[in-house]
Amino acid sequence: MKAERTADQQELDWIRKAQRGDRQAFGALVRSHRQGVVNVVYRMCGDAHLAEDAAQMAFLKAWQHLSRFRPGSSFRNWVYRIAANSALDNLRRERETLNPEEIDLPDPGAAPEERAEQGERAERVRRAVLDLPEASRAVLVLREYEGLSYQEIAETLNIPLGTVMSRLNYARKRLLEMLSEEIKLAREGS
Amino acid sequence: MNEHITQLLEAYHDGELRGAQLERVEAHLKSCAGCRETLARLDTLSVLLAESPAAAGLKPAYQFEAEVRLRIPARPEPTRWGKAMRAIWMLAPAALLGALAFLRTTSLVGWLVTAVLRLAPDSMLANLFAVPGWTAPQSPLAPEVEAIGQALVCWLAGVCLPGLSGIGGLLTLLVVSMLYLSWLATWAARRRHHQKLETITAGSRGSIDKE
Repeated sequence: MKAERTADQQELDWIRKAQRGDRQAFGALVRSHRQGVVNVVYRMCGDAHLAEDAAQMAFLKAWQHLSRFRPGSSFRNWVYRIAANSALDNLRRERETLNPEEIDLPDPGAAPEERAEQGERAERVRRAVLDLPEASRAVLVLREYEGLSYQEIAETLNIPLGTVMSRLNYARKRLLEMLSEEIKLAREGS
Repeated sequence: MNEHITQLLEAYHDGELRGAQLERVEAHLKSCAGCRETLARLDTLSVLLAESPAAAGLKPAYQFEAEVRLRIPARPEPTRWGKAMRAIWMLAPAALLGALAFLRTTSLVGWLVTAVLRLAPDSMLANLFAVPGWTAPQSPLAPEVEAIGQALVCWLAGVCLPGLSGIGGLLTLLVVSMLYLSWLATWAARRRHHQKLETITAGSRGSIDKE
């Protein structure tokens, strides 16, 4: 608990310094949130390189608008919101060239049969997620991959709590339908 | 199972329920096989989603950070408060000079009016400053005493109201000069600090690039 408070204090210190123009402090913030931001963007758009570019753009926007950030609120949620919007912007730009069906699959190669099967299943899951409407996908990604609470998602995406619940419900309903076979097999296997 | 419980079931799956709602769902699950089945499907879906691998082939963290830092401009947009403070700070000398000019002018006008009223009370200029329907009360003091009193009041005003003359004027100029020199010293110190900060960050950026 004390360590968490110290980490929060450290982050607050970085934010204040960055707001005064300290690029080194902003670099520390980038290091601290890079993984999460890239992950959010990757789950949103499904392409690692596009995700990195969008994540960098998100940090760039965060730097430009750092003055609007209130130090009392969560920096992670704020930068996730920028990242989600950045991912959606990139997706809209790349829509014609980026098709979930055309994204290169990780090559299972010489992996054992079971591992290859798992890889294929994971790929079907990924495609099903990418097939969701953007708004529902953003909520699902923040909940399932980043473990944000409903309240945090509402703050991150600036939407009401009820909308978070309905979008999450819709996304899961769609995924349960699209992945019914995979779910059945997974339950039989467990 | 009704729709309301379905909504609660998802919140239960996400660990969002507390107190009475949590107890209600737990009690319901004990008696409802359908809801247990739905919950199991939600759990399996979460497992499947978690199995989906994270992005592969990403740049190393230091490279990512270095690229971001290369792309960001030297300084972020200042805060609204910061902008206001900066504007106030830059306008401070002008405001100081403006205040001094105002005080000087009002003092000068005050002296002129006093002089006109005393030297030529019936002149056109004196009538200009006269308030209609108001006549000065008769002073119970002798004219000499009154003149000394007026002179004393004027001298006090000169000391207390900056910008008049004599000691007051000197003090005013001294204070204004000190304030202006302080402003210049602070401005120079801030400029040096920003230059130092730029050098430090540019240097550290270079070292990250070399890693």
